[in-house]
Amino acid sequence: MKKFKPTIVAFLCRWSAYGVADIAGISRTGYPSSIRIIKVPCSGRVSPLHILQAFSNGADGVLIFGCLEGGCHYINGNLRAMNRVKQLKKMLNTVGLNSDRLEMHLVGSCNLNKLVNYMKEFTEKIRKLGPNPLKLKEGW
Amino acid sequence: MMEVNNRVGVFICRCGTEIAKVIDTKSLKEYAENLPEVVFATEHDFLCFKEGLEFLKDAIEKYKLNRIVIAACSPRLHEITFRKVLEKAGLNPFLLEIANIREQCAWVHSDDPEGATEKAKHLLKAAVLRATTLEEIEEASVPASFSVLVIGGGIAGITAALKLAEYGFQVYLVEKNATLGGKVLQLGTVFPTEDCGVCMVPYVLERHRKCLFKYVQMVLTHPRIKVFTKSVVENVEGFIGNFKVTIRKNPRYVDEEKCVACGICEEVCPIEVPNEFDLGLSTRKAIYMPSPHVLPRTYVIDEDCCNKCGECVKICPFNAINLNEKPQRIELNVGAIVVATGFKEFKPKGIYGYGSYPDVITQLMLARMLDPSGPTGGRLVRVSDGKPPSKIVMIQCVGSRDPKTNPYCSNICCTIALKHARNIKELYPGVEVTIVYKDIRVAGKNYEKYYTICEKLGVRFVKGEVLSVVRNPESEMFEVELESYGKRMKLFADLLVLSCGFTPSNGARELAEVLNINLRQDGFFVAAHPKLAPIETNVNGIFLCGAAQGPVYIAEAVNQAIAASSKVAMSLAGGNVKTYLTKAIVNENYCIGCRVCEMSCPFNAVKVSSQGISRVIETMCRECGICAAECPAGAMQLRNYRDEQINATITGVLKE
Repeated sequence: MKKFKPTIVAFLCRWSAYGVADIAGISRTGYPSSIRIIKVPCSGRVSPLHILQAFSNGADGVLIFGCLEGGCHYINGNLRAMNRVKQLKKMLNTVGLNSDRLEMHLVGSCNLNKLVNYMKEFTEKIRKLGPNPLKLKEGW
Repeated sequence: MMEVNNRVGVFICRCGTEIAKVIDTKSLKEYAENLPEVVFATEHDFLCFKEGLEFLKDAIEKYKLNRIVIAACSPRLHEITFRKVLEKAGLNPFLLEIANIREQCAWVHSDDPEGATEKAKHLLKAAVLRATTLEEIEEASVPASFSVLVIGGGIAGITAALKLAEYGFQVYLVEKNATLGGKVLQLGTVFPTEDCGVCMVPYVLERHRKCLFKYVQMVLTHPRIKVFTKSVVENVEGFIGNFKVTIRKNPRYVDEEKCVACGICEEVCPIEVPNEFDLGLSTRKAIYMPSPHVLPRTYVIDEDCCNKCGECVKICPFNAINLNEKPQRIELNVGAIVVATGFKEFKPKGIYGYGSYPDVITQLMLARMLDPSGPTGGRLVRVSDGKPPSKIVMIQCVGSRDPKTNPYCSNICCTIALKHARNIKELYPGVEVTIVYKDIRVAGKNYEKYYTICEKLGVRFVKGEVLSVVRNPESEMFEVELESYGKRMKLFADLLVLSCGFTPSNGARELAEVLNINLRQDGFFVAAHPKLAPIETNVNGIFLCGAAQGPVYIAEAVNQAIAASSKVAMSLAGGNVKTYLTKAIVNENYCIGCRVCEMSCPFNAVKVSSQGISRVIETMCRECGICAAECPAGAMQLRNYRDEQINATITGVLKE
């Protein structure tokens, strides 16, 4: 069997994390190519629908990055997203998806190492968890 | 959505060799050609260069492209550049999607060229899929009223009003008290210039020193400023450019036009009460002028203590008094609102004997006492017997940095205490002054000199925590017991001054409800972003300045007032409020009127109509999409980030 290479969808807030990801590029700080970044206006825009859409399309993991607490450009979008993620995690377990496949973190717009470390650690975690079971059922 | 078939053009930038040395752009181009609805795909060395931009424009026209996908650097770099090209080529600038294959691929996966190319293909596919779902986004323009409401007539409000009037706006200044000037008028001398509070240096038009007295007079006489004293904002409706404001003007009972401030009415008034302006250090009548320096120089009747005996009405030579005056309601249309409601001193009731002993006073009372035009004519006395004190102890951080009262640092009390200690030492070198502190924080520009000067003048500094204050009835001295560096010690004083923290001014909470803007837990107004939007609020068109956000020095209050006025000017100057409609939008067929969007919107931009359908106020929407994520019916969408647009990206990055 060929080595499992996970595919991870990362939703990045355009104010903080998306800029940090650009800085990662500018400073040539590498992270796994498994991370596929999607820009959103605020982490608060990410609804459970989008997360489930990612899983049903074969994502092995979903990451969400918002601004630090108190630093959200929309006052509390990041915390609202955190709440949704918390609730969705409970549901993921019941449909047979390990809730560890979904993570949300808050990063400031200068937290390069933090962002990259989260990406690396998450990829490693997903590698251990193996492929998305929905994908296996569909016979991918 | 356009009915014309999508004709997607893909432009892959090699960025010199920056992208091409990691990613196989040729195979990327071949991949792009086979993607759905792509009619043209090409590579280019430098798409952002002048000739690259021309190439882009020509290709759009030649191949009749209507959706543009650019695979290049981060959209944060050149999105605006490329959008302008689209506009020039006759396309809506929002029909552009950028795949970030430099920052997110070439530069971070240089050790894995195969993986990078693979990922770039996915990013490109996502961009193409998303591009086919993009919509044209128009620019909206709403006419704006060229007038501004300033709430609060302290130094911040006055400055903002004057600046805005200079810009050419019609300004309405609303002050809840009978006079303008705020806290600054009460302070005696003010730092860092050590001149009197009424003679500050608010540089406006002339170069010489100008006193607040004159400054306020400028406000009162300015052709474009209308002042409402004794007034409160009762209701606000609308949005930036078009706020409808209702003001309640409480009766002053004295006609401002007729009164010449002769003072005869005051002499015949039978009622005498403590004067709040001097914090009870002097008395006033029911008809009064708080201080000879106040403006407008008009008497006012305090309705709470007036018994309506009518003596003043009989004696007034100008018939200026009308005891039957009723509150008025005034409606105004304004384009923006500046909140400058300021702060008040914390009342340390029951703390260290304040309220029980008259010789326990606050720094603001001491300021009144040291003011040459104050109740004691500038003499330092003990309140109880009018004799000069010999030993003064100041206690810092009362009602400040204290979890039991106010946990925050009030910022300015250290400097106030040092200023007063210095004034006392210079006037009465024989008086002992001791300051008991937690930390001395004098971080302002040039303020450290207060500390060094005080040290030189012999002010004693004791770091410690006050445990108890007891008054010895025999010696009539206060015994202050405190713990300093683990040791207990006792200080003696015949005048105890509490450096109190500052709290939001009365009515801030009610005003926040009227304006729909947010308060911090401590009751001060909160800015939209602590660093990048320090003047804005969560409501577009409402700005903050001065101590409404937290205790600040005069200099900073003036700074913020100027910042707020320029913010107002920026948003209203064109006479229109212009904005791209990348805003939330409701599909009325799906809306179930559950109000989740209304409740979740941080900016009050969504209202549910009487028919039970959500409406987005586009000028207030800030494009976060929280409502769209929360909507259970899928009726609320954010344009340019609709569900189908985000889902297209998700599908693109995942599916082969």
